[in-house]
This record gives sequence, C-alpha cells and structure tokens, in this order.
Amino acid sequence: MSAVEFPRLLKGAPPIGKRQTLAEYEANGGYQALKKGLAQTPDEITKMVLDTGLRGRGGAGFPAGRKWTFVPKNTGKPVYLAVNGDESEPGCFKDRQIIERVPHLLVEGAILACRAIGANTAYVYIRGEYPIGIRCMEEAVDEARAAGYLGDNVMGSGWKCDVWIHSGAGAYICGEETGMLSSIEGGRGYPRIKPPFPAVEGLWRSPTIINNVETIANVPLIVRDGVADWKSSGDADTPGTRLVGVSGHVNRPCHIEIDPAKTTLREIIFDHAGGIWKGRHLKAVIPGGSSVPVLPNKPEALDVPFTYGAVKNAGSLAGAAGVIVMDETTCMVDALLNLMEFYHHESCGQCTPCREGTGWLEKLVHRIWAGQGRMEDVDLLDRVADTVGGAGAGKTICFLADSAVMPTKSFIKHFRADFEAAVRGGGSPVYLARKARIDRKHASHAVGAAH
Amino acid sequence: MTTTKRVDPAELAKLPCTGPSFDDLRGKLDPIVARYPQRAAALLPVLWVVQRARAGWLHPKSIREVAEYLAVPQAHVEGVITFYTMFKDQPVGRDVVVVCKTLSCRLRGAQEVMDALEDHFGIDMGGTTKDGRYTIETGECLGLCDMAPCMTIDEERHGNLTPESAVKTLEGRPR
Ligand SMILES: Cc1cc2nc3c(=O)[nH]c(=O)nc-3n(C[C@H](O)[C@H](O)[C@H](O)COP(=O)(O)O)c2cc1C
Ligand code: SF4
Ligand code: FES
Repeated sequence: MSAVEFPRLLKGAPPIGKRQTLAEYEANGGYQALKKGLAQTPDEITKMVLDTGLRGRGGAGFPAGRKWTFVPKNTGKPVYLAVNGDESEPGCFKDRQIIERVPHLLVEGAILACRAIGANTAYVYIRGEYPIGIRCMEEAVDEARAAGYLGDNVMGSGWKCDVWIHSGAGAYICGEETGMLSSIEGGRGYPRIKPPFPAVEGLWRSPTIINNVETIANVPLIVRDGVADWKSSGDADTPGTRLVGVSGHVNRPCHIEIDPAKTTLREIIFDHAGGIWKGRHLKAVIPGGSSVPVLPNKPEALDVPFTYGAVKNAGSLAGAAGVIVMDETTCMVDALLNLMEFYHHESCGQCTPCREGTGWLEKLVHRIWAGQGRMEDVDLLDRVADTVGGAGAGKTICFLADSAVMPTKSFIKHFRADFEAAVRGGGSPVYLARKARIDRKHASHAVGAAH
Repeated sequence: MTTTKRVDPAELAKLPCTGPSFDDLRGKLDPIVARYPQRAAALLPVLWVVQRARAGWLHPKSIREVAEYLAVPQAHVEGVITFYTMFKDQPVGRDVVVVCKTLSCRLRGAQEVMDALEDHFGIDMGGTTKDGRYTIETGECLGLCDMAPCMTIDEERHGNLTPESAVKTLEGRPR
C-alpha cells in the first residue's frame, strides 16, 4: 500500500486568517477535477462517489453517493444542492477550516455535485457567526465566476451552474437539514416532517440534496485522483480522511486531518492535542460534538480508531468529530447543565416532547447543580430523559431533543458519583464556589424589580 | 440568553432610523433577490444588509420597508427577526460583543470572563455599556473552540481570554 500523503483536504491550505486565492488553488491542481467532470456524464460522477463509500461528515454518516441517487428523474422541476455550513454543534469547528482557508475546494465540490445530481443552483448555508468565512466564500465564488468556472457557460461547456452563499443569523436548529431549507426560503428555521424527504421535496418543493461542507469538499479529490487513491486513507467503514477539532482541557486545542483507521481517540488527545493541561489526568471525553454520549477514561473507550464503527462499539459516536476533553477536576453536573441550557435554548418549539422535555432536563440538572436536588432526582433525571425526544419513533420532527438525551443518559451512566456528590454536598462545586455571587445578583435583581 | 431591558414598542418608533434611505440600499439588495426563485427567500440576506447599514438594529421603519420590498407580511418579518439571535429589533451599542458560554469555553474559564466584564462595566450580560459603545451578550458555541475562552466583537475574534485580557481588549480598542 502506498503511503498516503497528508493532509488531503487541507493540502496547500494557508494558515487560518488567510484565504487560498484562485491562482493558488489552480497552482495546486484546483479546478482540474471540474475539467474532468465536465467530460463525464453525471451518472459517472455519482458512481465514483458511490464507489468510494464517502459518508456524510455532518454527523449521521449517511453514504453521500447513495443519497444522490434518491433524486427522482424527469420531474420537470429544478433540482437544488444545499451545502450545510451551519456548523453550530458545540465543540465543532472543522468546516470553518475549509470555508476560510480553502473555499475554492468547496466551490469546486459544489459545482461537481450539482453536475452529478442535475442541479444548476447550489446554496451554501453558512452560520451568521462566521462573517469572515462568509466573505471568503463570497470572494471565492466571485473569482470562480470571473474565471468562467461558474455562470451560464461553465468552462465553455454550455452547461449552467451557479453557487450562492446564504448567511444564517444565529440558530443551531438551522443545521438540521430541513430547518436549513426553511431558513434558505426566508423563514424561521423550522424543521419539516419527513417524508417527503428533501431529495424528493426540498427547496421550493423541488428535489434537493443536502450535504455537509466537508462531504462536498471531498468530491473534487475523488474526481481528480480517482476512487482507489481517495480510498487509500481510512477503511471500509470510514473511507477517506476526517477533519477533527479538539478542545477543552488539552494543552494544544487544535484541528487536525487524520486517517481515521490509523488514529485512535487516545492519540488525538495525547499526541495531536498535547495531552491534558496543567499536568492533570483525563476524566471524560465527548468524541463527536456535544450531541453524542460521553466516554469515561477507560482503555476500551480510548484505544479505538476514530472510525464511525469503532467509536460506536466503544459506546459513543464519531458524529461531527468535535472532541471535547474534560480533566479530573471537572464537575460533570456542571458540564451537563451547560449542555442542557444549550439544547433548551435552541429547541425551535414545534414539538412538545422537545420544547417541554429539554426544559425539564435543564431544570432537573439545575436543581441538582444548585443544591436543591434529592437523591431520587438522579434516577428521575435518567427516567425523564427516556420520555424526551423520540424522533425515531415519530414523536418529534427532528433529532434535536434526542441530541440532549444522549449526553444526559451517558453522563449519569458513567459519572453518577458526581451527581450524587452534588446532592449530598449541597450542590456542584462550581455552584458552591459562585454561590455568594449568584445570591448577590438575585438580591439586587429583586430590589430592582421592586422599584 | 439576554437580560436586556426592552424598549417599549411605542417608544421604539420614536427613535431615529439612522443610515441610508431604503432607495439607496436597493442597488445592493436587487442582485441578492435575483439569486432566489422567490422574492421571499431573500429575507435573511436583506435583513443583514439593512441591519448593517442602519446602526446594527432593525427599526420598525426598516421592518416595514423590508416587508414591502419583499412583498411579505410585516408579521412574518417580525417572526423571523425574533427567531434568530443575531437580528436585533432593539437598539444596540456601537459594537456587539458576544462572549461564548458553551462547554469548551466554560471548561477554560468563560464564566470568569463574563463575571469580569459584568463587574468592570457595571452591567449584566445582554446589557449595553453606559457610554453606548458595547452591547455585551453571551452566545452559544462560536465555532472557535480551539481558542477558548473566546469572544467576538462584530467581525473581530479574540481568544485564549483571561478576565483581565477580556477587559483590556474592550477598553483598548480605538474609540
Ligand atoms: C439539531 C441538528 C443540528 C445539526 N447541525 C448540523 C450542522 O451544523 N452541520 C451539518 O452539516 N449537519 C448538521 N446536522 C445534520 C443534518 O441534518 C444533515 O444530516 C447533514 O447536513 C447531511 O449532510 P451529510 O450527509 O453530508 O452529513 C444537524 C442535525 C440535527 C438534528
Ligand atoms: S424536535 Fe425540537 S428542534 Fe426539532 S422540530 Fe421538534 S421542537 Fe423543533
Ligand atoms: S464552545 Fe466556545 S467557541 Fe465552541
């Protein structure tokens, strides 16, 4: 097997703060894939992506090529591509690397994907909190249009394709694929009931394919270098490379591009991110962004390759590859409360088991955190979590509430002692350390309200 | 989550709507509308342009004009504005500061940064400094977890903050 050259997606990428220009991208082999792709039929491009087994990088890992084949043929309606750059999952900052540093890779990928699925228009949705990224993408699109890679006659082929950047404005739920569609159509980011699936009825009730930024950025590499070359990193379960973000209690918070089959979670934390800060020990790690189960510091959890399958077997999910590391001093009640505040705040409110359920979870954890908890509340929290969400069973429209349940159940499962200690000790140590300030604030607000 | 005191709607309308006239913005807005098969779809990008051009918030007059321009009900525009945390229907300071409060930042001291800013400026998170210079909010994960704890000041990003450096950054920017 030939050694894989690293990095792949970020090859030739300038450091953060600098954007790769069109000239730099072209000098790096940029838009060669498009040239090749234009000489192929759309089905040939789809077949290549299918043959690689590329799985969606937005979290769920659905095979991209298969999704593309769901677009119905000859409906007489336009087809759209929507690229998901909402990246609002706590702990995730990988798509930003592509958007800000190698935006042309994403533009070229979007054009090729449009070609494959029969679309002439792509919308790239980028969260409003990424104004620099939005500008980088706008500039790249302008450059590509001026150079004839976009527009009414792509590279003289007579084929028309356009890519537009659509800025979000602060709402996690717009990362959910149908919430994103609602947002692109100019509405509140309300997710929609499936079926119909977006591939059949998406933007303006036309067939729409939704893929994550990193998923689409892989397409030019596949078309340019071929299936075998692309598959030389990763394994059958998780082919290709993965961009991973590491944050929390590590010496060197960073993002890296890894071969998922050859890199373990332990290596990510201890080699790439420099180990646990302040000479402390590892307590817990959330491997895939805040929505996946937390893992304890155990060899069977850490000494596994960072593939979808292996992390799942270890009891969590590789998800969107946002590794959040917690050291031995972390109070897990405090960490869970932080996440529950997030999910409750971000629930769009359409479904009762989510709108109310995420609120209950936050309230219950808060009660334990603030020293008002009873011992039976720990089990109560665990049981209540079972009644929240349920998108798989059709109880909610989307998986947001389920994303709050997974951390809750796993935090209790692995770190019950922290919850019981908070009940016994009058609250979380974090609460106790701030109690005087919290009480002072309450008092001054009560006085303010009386005026 | 913000605890800003909201201005009474009747009072809001009396505030001046500063910035360019809507007609002056059309040159920028028309090409954006053309990107979509339906006018209504341009609502988010249009609100962004108008908010940026007009003192960082959406005055009742702006809301009326946007609704008319895109031929959508005004209630729809209001509904959209209130859904997204980055659209403001109330006046804000000259710059909006967002301090990340989510897990990776909390693990590295975000709470202490927020406490220091509250104490230094004498406001609660979500409030505006007395000189009208900054509105200081908390935000959810800004996608800058590798520089936690962090904050943004409009387009600027500041990371690896300490309580002292956060205060110094805000005080040290050109007035
Ligand atoms: C609450 C919620 C938030 C999500 N946020 C994102 C996101 O920010 N970015 C993303 O690519 N996918 C996100 N997803 C997953 C998308 O719904 C969708 O599966 C993905 O964009 C499909 O692209 P892929 O197949 O290329 O991964 C989210 C899902 C849920 C339920
Ligand atoms: S599950 Fe929650 S976020 Fe998803 S649509 Fe229902 S209320 Fe909204
Ligand atoms: S948690 Fe603060 S930037 Fe991600």
